[in-house]
Amino acid sequence: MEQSLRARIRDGDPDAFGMLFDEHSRAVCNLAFRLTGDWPSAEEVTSLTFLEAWRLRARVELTGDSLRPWLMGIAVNVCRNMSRAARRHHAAMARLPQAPVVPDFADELAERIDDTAKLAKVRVALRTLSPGERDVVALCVWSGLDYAAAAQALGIPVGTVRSRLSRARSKLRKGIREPEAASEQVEGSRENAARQVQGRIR
Amino acid sequence: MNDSDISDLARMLPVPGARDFQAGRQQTLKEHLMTEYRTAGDHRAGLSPVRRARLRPRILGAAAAAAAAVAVAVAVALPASHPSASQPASGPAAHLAAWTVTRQADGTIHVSFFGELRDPAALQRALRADGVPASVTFIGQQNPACRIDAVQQRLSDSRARALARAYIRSHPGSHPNTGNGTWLAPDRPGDALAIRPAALPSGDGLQIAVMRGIPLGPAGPWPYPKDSGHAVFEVGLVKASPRCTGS
Repeated sequence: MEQSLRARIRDGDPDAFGMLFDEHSRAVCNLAFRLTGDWPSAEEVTSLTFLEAWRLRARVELTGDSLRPWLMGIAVNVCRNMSRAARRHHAAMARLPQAPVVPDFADELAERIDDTAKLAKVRVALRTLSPGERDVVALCVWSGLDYAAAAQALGIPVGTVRSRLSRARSKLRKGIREPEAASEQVEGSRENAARQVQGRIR
Repeated sequence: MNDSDISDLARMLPVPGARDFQAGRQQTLKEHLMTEYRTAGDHRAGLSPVRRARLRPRILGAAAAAAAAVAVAVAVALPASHPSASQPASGPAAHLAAWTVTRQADGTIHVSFFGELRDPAALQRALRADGVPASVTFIGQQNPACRIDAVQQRLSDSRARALARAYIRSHPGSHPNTGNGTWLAPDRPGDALAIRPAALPSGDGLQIAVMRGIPLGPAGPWPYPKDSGHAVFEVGLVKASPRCTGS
């Protein structure tokens, strides 16, 4: 089934791309949200990712498992150089309807402010990493890809994924002062628990 | 595989849990992509993807320019103070893009749409020519030179409703890009903004933002169910200034 989907993607079958969007757009958007720190930009990255996927479809191999790593790899590249992707798909993006404006409900708004504050903190930490390290963190830590899938997504050897993760960990450890680390641990503990469960499932 | 790297990194970089799209938004994004894919596939099947990518902006640029020309032509050709003349023939040309600005006997300026607004700058010029200090853009691209002060944010819902009245349903709410307190959706296809310049508080102008890519008016499909809460226009008060409202 997956193989014939890959063949249809390579052939530029819009319906196959539609299925791809149904299945993976939420994951792509959440990855972009964590990297960009705001949801409207994340939606823009999502659209650009699927436009890029269409452009690059000839590179899809006929055999393989899920196309999610491929899409995630495109997404981190779009995040890394959003202006280039936006230029490339300028005409298509101009036709994208703006997100509707809805009234803000107080608790929803509070939650969003919380999320944004949390991500702002994370983005400060991410600045200490190289772009390559940030990409593997995004894919392995936040999107739950295993090392092989992340390597495939980024077109790098598995050993490089490992070493980048290990370097990222050392850099962040050095950067985090003990009191801050303690308070962040408390704040993030519930989500971390959830994420670790997800990690085990894969 | 070194799982401790992953769990350590997860602990050091605590991110919010996964979030979902706003209701209907995922479908909108998908429909947009499907249209792009189908257009690319249908019309340029013989060309390589790279060639296609180079061709598209030029072709669409020309189409947009033609549409803008129609908008200006319609706006200029229709006599002012003659709202009945603003009903265009229901041909396909009217669907491309068209709007009119007409001055009513009581001094109210009516803006009517007969298709998608593609050139907010032209509408801005027309409004200014009719004495409305206005800034017109697409939603999300509001002129940064336009200032909305804190008091006005709170007041603008009622004030803008008083200014941009007739055929307009108003929803209290806030706009994340501008902090503007009002957003408006016309009640029926073909309905328009109505502006009373005389009722503008001294020193104030209007900031009008229109949703991009939406066919407005009777010539196009009405974009959203009436009560879906989608904003088509946002209208708010701003401090008038040469850089914001032209005067």
